[in-house]
Amino acid sequence: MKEILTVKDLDLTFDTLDGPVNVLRGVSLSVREHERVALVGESGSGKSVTARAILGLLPERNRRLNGSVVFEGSDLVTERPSRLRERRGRDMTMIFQDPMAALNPVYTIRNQFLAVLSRSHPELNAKQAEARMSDALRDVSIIDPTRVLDSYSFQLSGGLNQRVMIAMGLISRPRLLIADEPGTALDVTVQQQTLLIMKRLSESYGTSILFISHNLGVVRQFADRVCVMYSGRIVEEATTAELFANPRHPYTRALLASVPRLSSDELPEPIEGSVPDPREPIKGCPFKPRCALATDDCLQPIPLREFGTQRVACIHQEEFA
Amino acid sequence: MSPPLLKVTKANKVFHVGSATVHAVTDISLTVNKGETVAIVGESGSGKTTLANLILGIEVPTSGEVELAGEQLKGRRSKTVRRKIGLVQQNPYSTLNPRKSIGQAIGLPLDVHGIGSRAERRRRIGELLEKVGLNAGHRDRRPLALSGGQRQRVAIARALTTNPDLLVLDEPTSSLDVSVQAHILRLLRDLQQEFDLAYLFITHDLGVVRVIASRVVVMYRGRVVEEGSVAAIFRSPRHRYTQLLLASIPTVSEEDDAFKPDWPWDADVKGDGDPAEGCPFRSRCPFAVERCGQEFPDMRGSGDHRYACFNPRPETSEAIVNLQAEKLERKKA
Repeated sequence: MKEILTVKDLDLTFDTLDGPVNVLRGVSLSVREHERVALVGESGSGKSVTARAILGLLPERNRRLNGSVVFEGSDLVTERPSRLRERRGRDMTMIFQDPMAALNPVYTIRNQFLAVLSRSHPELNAKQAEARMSDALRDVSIIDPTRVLDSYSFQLSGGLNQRVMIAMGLISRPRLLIADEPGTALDVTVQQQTLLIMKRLSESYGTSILFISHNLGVVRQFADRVCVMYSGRIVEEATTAELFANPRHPYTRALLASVPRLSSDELPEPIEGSVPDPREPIKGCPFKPRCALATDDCLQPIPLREFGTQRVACIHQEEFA
Repeated sequence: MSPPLLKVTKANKVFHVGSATVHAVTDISLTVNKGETVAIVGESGSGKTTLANLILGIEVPTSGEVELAGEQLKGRRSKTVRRKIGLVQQNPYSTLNPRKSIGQAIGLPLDVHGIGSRAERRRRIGELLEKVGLNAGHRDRRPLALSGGQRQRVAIARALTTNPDLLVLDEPTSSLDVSVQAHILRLLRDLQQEFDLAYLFITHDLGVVRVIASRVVVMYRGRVVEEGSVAAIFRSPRHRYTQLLLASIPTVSEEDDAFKPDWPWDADVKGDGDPAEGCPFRSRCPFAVERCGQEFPDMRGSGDHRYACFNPRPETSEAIVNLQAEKLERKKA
């Protein structure tokens, strides 16, 4: 299927008072039409910053961004800012982690929703706009859209606010939706429901999703393909089924082993050591200091190698074969 | 038999907010024995933190009793009582004062309780840091220099300074990465074995409960809706809310899926009626029957597994238990 988003060799460095901080080190990924791709990793792995780089939401000052982000044929890194503004929020939208923080408490939901709607559909009159918003809210299983539109975000539950965010994110029928930890701030039961709604709508609208999460379980349910990030680079990429049946990178395996299991009352296995300091230069594999398989060869540059449809940045793959 | 370490009997807490009254905790009874871990599970608004506050003495129950080792706690608590209960909170980024060193943070309870001389305190702080997997060198550092996992270790060390019998752990791992969470869970287990500590482990994450607790209390809107041994509840959840909680766990393998009950995600729920009467969960429950709107069900079931539901989930059948065992066998092979 056609790729709608192709990120290639994305490097990002922030210049700080303590010297340069290397946040992304050659990230490449792609999202195809109708596909849900997950970017999974722990805090500091660079997953959120990748999303922001794709949307062009990074601060301009003190940053060095190299590589390309091609969205439907045009490179967003070199695109004119005016053109970028046009596409952002219409062809490519984003849902943030905490709906309570993303919605403004001093405007009603209707006010904020109208602002979003008028970007993609400036031609609608008030009555049409109202109908459009009500339909969108019904699509996310909100039974009383008028009450919700009349409300302020603080009058609604976290689950309702999250669904409002989803409705806003999808109102322009974007080609790509970037969802940064949607539902993480919510209760598990509510999170489950929001994910089901998002999955169903993305299928019926034909929207592709780049899904950012730290939760492997959520990723397994939601995504078609998974990219595992560690220390600013992608260390493994595979279809969801493959990744969970046959994780190859030692980091992916360690991460899976640290999840508590329903089928076992044994304590999960922690990962020893800690993530490398982004201020330090990294030679070779960033996971080497914490890896049981590590040898001196791991200090060489480690490219992603292909195993069928799986791509892994690890030289010790024969051991698993 | 000696009395349980902690016994809460028919505790109620009512808050008055303007003209409204909020029943944060209704008729809660529970016991925690020495050296055991009891998990309190529920989502936001279930009253689990209010319950913790009642136990810690931060709030006073509107009615009901809290007993510690057979002694009823009433009015202002003495320092001897306060020493026996420690607290670890959720977010180690906000519970440590950024302007104080780690040593000062851990030493504060020693100052308050007037334990030891200066030199003894200093030695004790170093000792506690080693116990939680840090070292004496961390004493003079500030919280800012530590990672989230390290800060949570400091919070645990601080809770241990007064040699408590009971630790109230309020979501101690939910703001941590999963690989760090695994470290903290191990640390908690080791400390429990070494000091014969009892834990009241408050969480919204049933996945963690399975590996750390021996008994579970499930709360919904301030009431206990199901309680029992971890084995019984994970094998056969009976209350529909517990069933929903378990069905919502995002699992990472097929073996784990086999241990998850089903849930009719697309089923219609009525969502009407006065929530003050009847079962508070009925507005979200596709299994609600007429009686659910009339009265709150009494606890039924026996000894190590009780639940309050008029239309409970049937017990997990032998066939499913066998299937689960089979899945596990296959994984091991």
